[in-house]
Amino acid sequence: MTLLPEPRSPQALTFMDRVEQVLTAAPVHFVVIAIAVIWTLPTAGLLISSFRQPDALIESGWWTVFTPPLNLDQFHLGNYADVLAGQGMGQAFLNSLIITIPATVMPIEIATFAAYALAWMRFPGRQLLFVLIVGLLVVPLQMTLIPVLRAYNALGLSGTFLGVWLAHTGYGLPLGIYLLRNYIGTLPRNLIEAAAVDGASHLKIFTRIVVPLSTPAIASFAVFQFLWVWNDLLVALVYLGGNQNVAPVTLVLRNLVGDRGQDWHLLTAGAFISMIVPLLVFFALQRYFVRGLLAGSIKG
Amino acid sequence: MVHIVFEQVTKQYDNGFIAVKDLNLDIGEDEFLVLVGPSGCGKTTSLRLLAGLETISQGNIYIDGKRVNEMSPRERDIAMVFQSYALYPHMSVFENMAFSLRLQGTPKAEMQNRVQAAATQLGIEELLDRKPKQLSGGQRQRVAVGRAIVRDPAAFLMDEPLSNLDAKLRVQARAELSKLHKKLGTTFIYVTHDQVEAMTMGSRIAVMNGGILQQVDTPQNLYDHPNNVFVAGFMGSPAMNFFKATLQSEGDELFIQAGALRLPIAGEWRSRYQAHIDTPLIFGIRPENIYNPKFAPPGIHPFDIEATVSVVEMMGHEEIVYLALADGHEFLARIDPRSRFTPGETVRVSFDMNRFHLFDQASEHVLV
Repeated sequence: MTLLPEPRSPQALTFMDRVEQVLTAAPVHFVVIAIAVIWTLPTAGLLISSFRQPDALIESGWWTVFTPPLNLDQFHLGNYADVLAGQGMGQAFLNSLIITIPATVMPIEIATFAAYALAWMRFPGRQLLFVLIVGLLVVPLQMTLIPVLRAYNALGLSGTFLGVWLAHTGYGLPLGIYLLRNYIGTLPRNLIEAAAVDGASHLKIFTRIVVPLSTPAIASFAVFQFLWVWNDLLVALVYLGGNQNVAPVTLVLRNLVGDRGQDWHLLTAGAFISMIVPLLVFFALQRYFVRGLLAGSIKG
Repeated sequence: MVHIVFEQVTKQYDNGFIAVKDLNLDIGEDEFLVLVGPSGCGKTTSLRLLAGLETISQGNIYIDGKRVNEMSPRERDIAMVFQSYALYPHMSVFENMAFSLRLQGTPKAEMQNRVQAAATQLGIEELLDRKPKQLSGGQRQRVAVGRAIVRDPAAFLMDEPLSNLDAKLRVQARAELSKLHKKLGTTFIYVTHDQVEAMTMGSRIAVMNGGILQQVDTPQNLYDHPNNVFVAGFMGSPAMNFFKATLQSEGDELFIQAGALRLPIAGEWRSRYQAHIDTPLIFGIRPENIYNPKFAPPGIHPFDIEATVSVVEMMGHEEIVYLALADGHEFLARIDPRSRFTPGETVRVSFDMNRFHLFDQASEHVLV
């Protein structure tokens, strides 16, 4: 619990105080606004372009829509309809969800269990195991593609969702275990001991105490993993192959670029569809990024 | 209501540090045993060994005759109150208190009743819906105690539960815990570094130092008859004064020779100390057994000496005076506040030669 000093009432501020406040905050505000503009401008262009007529898109830049008079007729939803229905983006969207959700949930579950064990259970070789897992972080994922694909072919897993889930789980686990073990390791020892004395088994301590208190770390990792899987092209391409029935959004988008680099209206709409979900996920998990979760637990 | 026995218990950490050495302790039913000692003396480790939070290196712990060395904390049926309280921050007060009952699968109605009863007993009924972070330090401490008593455990272990409270609350909480112990009639084992808590609450006190148990006795006996120099110096505030001394015999009289001090020993003590004549000893006298001759009460056996006042601490009900002998040896006296000693002044004070302690200098053990 951090207590901020009581802000002074506005009346108490002199004119010079306020000037000073504005001047000290100005550089920060300027940089923040500049970054926001640099980031938003192309995205806004993308959004506007995705609603424009294909012909107009080729003839003029997206900023020309602002030349008065503002004509709402030049916007339409046709690009989206075409991409979703005609270009297979709708199916790809579903495929992406089918791939991403289990490929996010599976590593979270495994990593949280592993992190608890590595942080709070005593067994020989615990430190060594953790070091090995952290060591896996530096293995480039490209190195694993061929051996894993060969194994998948032998097992009949290539081209299946299960194969991609397992691959993403494997690639996500080292980071997940590392992040979560470090967070869970900082939970107060007394809390875990109090639960043990209260009669909780390791499983109960894990589900009743550790998981609820680790939501910020779990949510952070969930966002990481979700974005990584959702935006992944390489892993999907290698393990799913060219099979259009199971292709995720990224694969279809790439095909759009490859086949007709000129179809801007489809590309912009497709790109926007692929952006919506990560945004939703980020905002949905936002509320778990709370500070002061442990307030009141120990000390007065 | 259990009988707890520590039998030759030793705890050695992986790095070789011995936290507790050969601890033998027999804790009776309904007892309020206080483990006291300076920080790092092994008192908390002993408690954690009993709770099952640390593994025992050697020896055995028995709870009601059953060896519990390998039992996990939850199999031991003990409740523990932590110094940090360790409340579950994401649960309400009710949930905190009901946690152990829920784990046992207690029916909902009974759980409700027991939590309610415990909350009433501790005066925290109106806090049941709050989260720990909305509570004050004193309230958190009560919740931590409440969480323990809801379970109706075989024994309560408390690890400095009052050390985070302010002085006034601590006095109040001390009395409440004593009352609670009487009402529940359960074995309490209480760890503290505060000798006032130990004296006021314990039915027996175990003093530890450096991982070794020094003495176990009732508060009064511990105070009046300390076994060794450490216990004598640790119990009581301000601490006992010590002087290096020897016993000397002159004719049929015995004297304690401590530097320039020559203190005669009363007749009834003489036979007792006969064997220790001319061996190096430590003479100890508590500050309250030193008087201003003007205000000395009847019944003491005064012997006056001269000393120079260096510091006077006026407490209102008493004066704590730092005195120096001619040879520079400093000691403290708690004297009558009417004395009005001033620093720099040379005064006469009386040692009550009925109440002193003699220890062997080599072993630091009391002479018997």
